[in-house]
Amino acid sequence: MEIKKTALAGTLESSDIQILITKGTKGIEIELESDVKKQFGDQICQAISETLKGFGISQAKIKAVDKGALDCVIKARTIAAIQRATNASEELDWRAI
Amino acid sequence: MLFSTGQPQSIADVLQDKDKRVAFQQMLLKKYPTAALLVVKLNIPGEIKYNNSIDHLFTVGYNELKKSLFKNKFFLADEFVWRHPAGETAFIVVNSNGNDLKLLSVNFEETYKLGRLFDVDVLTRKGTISRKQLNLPVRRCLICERPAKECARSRRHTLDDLKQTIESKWYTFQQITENSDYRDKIIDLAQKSLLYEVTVNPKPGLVDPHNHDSHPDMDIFTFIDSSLSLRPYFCSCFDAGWNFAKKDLQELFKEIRPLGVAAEKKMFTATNGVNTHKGAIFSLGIVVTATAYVYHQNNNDDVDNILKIVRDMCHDLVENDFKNLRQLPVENLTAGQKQYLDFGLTGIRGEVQQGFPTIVKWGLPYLNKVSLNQDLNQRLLNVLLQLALHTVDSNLIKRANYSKETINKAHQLINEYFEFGAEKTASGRSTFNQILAYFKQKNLSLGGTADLLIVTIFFGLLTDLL
Repeated sequence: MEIKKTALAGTLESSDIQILITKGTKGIEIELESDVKKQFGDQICQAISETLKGFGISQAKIKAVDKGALDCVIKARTIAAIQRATNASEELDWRAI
Repeated sequence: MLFSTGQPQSIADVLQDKDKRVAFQQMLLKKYPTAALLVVKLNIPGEIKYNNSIDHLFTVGYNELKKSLFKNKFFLADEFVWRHPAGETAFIVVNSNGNDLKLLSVNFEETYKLGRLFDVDVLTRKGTISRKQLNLPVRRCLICERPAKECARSRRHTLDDLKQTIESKWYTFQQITENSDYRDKIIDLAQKSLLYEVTVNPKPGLVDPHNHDSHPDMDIFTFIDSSLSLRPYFCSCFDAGWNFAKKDLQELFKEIRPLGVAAEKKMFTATNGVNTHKGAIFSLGIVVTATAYVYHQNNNDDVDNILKIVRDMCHDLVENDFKNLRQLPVENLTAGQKQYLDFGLTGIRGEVQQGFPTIVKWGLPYLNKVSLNQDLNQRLLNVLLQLALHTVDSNLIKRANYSKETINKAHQLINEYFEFGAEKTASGRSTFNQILAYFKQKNLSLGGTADLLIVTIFFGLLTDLL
């Protein structure tokens, strides 16, 4: 799948994460902002990139602002962003989680 | 149980609700660009986010938060409460720059007993105000002392542990609220008993709102002052009974005696040195203490149980109190002490030590017998006279100058009053007037009986006989 346009999902509320996807050319690049980046940054990035791979996306720039989201929330918000960025239907494909 | 009913929520449900909430917040901030927005939610993990019990918990905490907003003079410009299956959210638009509001909400989260279960966010057009911005410490985990975000992210605690902690916080809170409601109730009843007693009229030989011939140095106002001054004393008695954990209940009596001495001092200050309630301080104080003890131990306030505890508390009261009397100078003796030495009368101490037999045998049954519909004043007046017939009132003996004849005449009149059918017949009513006249003529008083009436009223109120 290919990123067609910039898309945003999620909020800046606590226990949530905001994912901004834009087109990329250098594989998957993730820029993460999080209060728990030191301890959990790798896990958060891994959850995002696994979800992208699940949708067959290999080129994308991600800006993520984490407010203490759990993995299931990170995946759900990433999927929503992908759906919007690829012009897929608003119906989320939960099988990818 | 807090989480046993309700509509389970999926992650998609919860996230969708969050999106709606954020959109609503943006709309409110646009509508009120100079105000701050307070957003109140519960911190509830798991699939169940909303049901009746959760709503109860939310409402109790939310009202407390609003109380503190009003107390701090914040002006609320708008308010919305969402009750969604994904959880409850309250939005309050407040005239504030946000910082003072954030301080208030952090204070609520940290110090209110249920505060840890709430998330109170403060938003302005510039964004959410964080604890960090105001140099406040980060939020700690519900269970351990680590920062909340760390435990949440690492899922250090199981869902069951979190739910259990929340439930136990809520149940403890409810228990404390119930207990403090009960304490307020009992202390109210004690004060009510004092005020009811003095209001009953016309009483022979006692102060009432119309007449205080028998006691020129005090009137109804003195009694009101005295009754109000005793509230802290009843509170201390209640707490002593509630917290008593030793075995020997006589120790409990020893604990409250100094409280009674202090209460007498307060009473004398309130009344400018007049003895209005010395007897009531003694007997009602013991009853309040025993009531608190029984309720804490058995979760009931059965009168028989309370009286058993009174007996246990005062097991050796007469013997202990009167054992060294003969060594005291006669002029220092009270009427009760003198009458014990001269006639072996044990007075109020004997009455208390035996668990108020006069009240059990004559006061409460009489209240039970007459219909609730009857005029309250008349019922209590008759109870007073019933008690007067069946007790040895040390105050009456003293005022009668120890004359058996005078006391007998008073008793005979009261007896006739009841035999004639009390207030229901003309001859009963006329005998009542004779009682009043006789008490006035001989300057008699029923101070000891009045104390028994107070305790009878207390038990009457406690058992809904009044």
